[in-house]
Amino acid sequence: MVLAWKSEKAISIAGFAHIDGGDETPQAWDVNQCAPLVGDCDLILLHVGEQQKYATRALTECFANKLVVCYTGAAGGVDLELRSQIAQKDNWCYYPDSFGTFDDQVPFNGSLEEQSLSRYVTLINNGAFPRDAKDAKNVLQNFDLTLETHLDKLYGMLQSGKQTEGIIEERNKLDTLLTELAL
Amino acid sequence: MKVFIVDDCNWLSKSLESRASEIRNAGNPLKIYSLPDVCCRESHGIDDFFDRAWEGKNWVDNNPGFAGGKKSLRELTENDKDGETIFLVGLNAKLSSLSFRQEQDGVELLKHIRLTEELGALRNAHVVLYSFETVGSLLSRKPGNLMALSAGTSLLRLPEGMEKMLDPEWLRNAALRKANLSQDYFTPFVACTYRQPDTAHTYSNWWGMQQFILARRELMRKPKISMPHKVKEELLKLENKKASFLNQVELGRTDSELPEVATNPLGGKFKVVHLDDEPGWQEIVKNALEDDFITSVTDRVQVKTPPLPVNVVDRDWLEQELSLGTDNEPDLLLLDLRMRGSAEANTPADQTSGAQVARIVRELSPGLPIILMTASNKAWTFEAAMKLGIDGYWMKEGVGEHLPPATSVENYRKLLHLVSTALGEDYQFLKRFTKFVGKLSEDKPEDFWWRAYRWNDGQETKVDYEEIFSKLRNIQILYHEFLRATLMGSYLMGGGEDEKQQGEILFLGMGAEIRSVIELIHGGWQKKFSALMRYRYDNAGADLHSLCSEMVHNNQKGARRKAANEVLTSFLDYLATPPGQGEKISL
Repeated sequence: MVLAWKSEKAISIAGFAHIDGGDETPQAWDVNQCAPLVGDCDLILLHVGEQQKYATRALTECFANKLVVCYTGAAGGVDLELRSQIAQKDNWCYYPDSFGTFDDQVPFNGSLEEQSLSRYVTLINNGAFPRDAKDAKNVLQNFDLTLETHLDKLYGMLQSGKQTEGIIEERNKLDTLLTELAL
Repeated sequence: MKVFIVDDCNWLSKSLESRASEIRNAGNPLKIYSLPDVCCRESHGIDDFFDRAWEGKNWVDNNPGFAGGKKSLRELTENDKDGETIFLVGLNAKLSSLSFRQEQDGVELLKHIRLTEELGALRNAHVVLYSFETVGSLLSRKPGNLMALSAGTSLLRLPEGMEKMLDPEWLRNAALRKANLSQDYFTPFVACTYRQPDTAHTYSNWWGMQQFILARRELMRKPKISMPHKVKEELLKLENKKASFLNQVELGRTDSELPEVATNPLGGKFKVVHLDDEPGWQEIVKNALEDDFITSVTDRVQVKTPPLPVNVVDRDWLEQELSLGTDNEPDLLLLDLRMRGSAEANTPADQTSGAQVARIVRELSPGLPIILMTASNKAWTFEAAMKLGIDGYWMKEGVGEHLPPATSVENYRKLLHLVSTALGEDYQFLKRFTKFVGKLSEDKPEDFWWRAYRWNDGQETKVDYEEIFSKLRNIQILYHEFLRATLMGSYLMGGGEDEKQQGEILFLGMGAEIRSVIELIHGGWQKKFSALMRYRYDNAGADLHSLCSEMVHNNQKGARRKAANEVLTSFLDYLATPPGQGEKISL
């Protein structure tokens, strides 16, 4: 089971439970309201909205021992405070996607956010997320690490004056990687 | 030409340096500067990185004659002429310990360069972003990256782009292509990456202070007034730089005259106390009020800015700190509405810390003028403030919907005007009148002639003290309301004619109450009352009664031309001086 913040959208993709910040739904930072929902969850996708302090509170009070992936549609990514907090625990992770779309401005269906959430769901269905939450960072930040490795390799080739054809071949591999993983 | 290279590895600077002598020999003096990778690793976020690059002595100068020296970007570009600088920036560089490759920090750095006003001409410098990624990939993962396509920016794809960056002729031509930062052109590039603030409070503190200082610089022609630390700190953040760009406000005119401050009738300086949870506000308001009234009276105001206790709504603390109800109480209180910061951003106005403090102050010192300072421009906040008996309402500037209904200079001038009025003659009179009424209520003195008096017609009158006191209280309240309505412009949102009418109603209310006090002193109204007063040699009472009748009946010929404080002065004289030929009798 997966919980998602802002999950009117998420529900449209898979069987997500609904936790949101409004008065009529369970609030993500309220331990009492969250406990029954969170208990069996393998993964929590925490959409960090404009009120980033709620996400900070939710992490500390409700999701301390859960595997949590924070993501946001905000153009500038999440705040430094939240990012530092995420860095403190191995089972919390920040997935630096920025959809650059705000509430109600872009229809969810077909949006970048939908694509990103769909990708998470595919990864879940393929067993990409381990039961052991301690491995979260390694698995979830795989994309960034892979990108880093490729870029290092390419920069190294540039510096050593290798033939452009060889570099372009490597670059095409990077293109494929970006297409598969990023979008 | 200066080339600044920003990346988390040094492959480009090495390649460029290896070609430098060749480039120099081609008659194109080229200076190359780069940042050591430790600068990236130690930075806590991209905002911090930019600050280290701009202010910190971190740039390595390996150019001939400068082996290994380190300088800040500010120092290195101080005397640059147009067209002499170019940035080469790794788009995927991890510029801080909290960054991810896919966040494309290079673009974030570009945003800092374009939006940091302090950079001056350097803001327009050409920026080359290089990456192995395609433009499509760059934009689809982060649509806010649109700025990478704006004028004055080149997007080079590696490895092909490498040859361009190593070609001095190409660099020189690129450096001539400057950014266009005009509001019309550049706004879409900023807007697509901007997140609206969720509450006014996010911005009220630093934005308001920034506009306040800008307005002072403009109005007072004092360009050297420095920004408070808080503003500088907030302006390090990219999000706030975007807000500044998108919400540029017209400062306004500078040709109207500044208000003056009256002389303190008691001698010495006027004492103003400013309660605000943000020390930056306290600092800049203090500096402004002590310096900015016209030059001949600069030493007439002294602003006290006490640090707030944990709980500012503490009756004992307020009573002591403000010496409320004593001769040492301030002449004016400047009060922030929300003194618990963002913790009470959503608290209804009438329950905020400022509202609670105002209630306590009003109770302990009814005549002390209070000017409320808030970033809220909501009608209901204004209404709530007025119900609390606030004298003046001044809006700190916010962004977007929280703009005050004037330009920054006009808004600042409004604060000076409110302060000068609150310290003016009328409010000073109110203070004296309130003290008189307060003393009467405490001491209940028996030696006022009107408590018990035998008139020269043999009639004796005795006055119920409480009845007179409650009338005096009413007069004091009406006068205070009259000043709020007519002088502070605080009574009604609309202003203009409405306020004038409201003032007239309060004025005639005062007349009615004064008249009824005189009637009580004479044992109640009787037929031919005016003749009776004259017969009893109470000419002062008869004159005042007649004047007040004119006030009540809105007679344009007499009382209307008298100032409210003149009528009240006559009234106080009347209460203090027994009429001729009668005698005071003991109770």
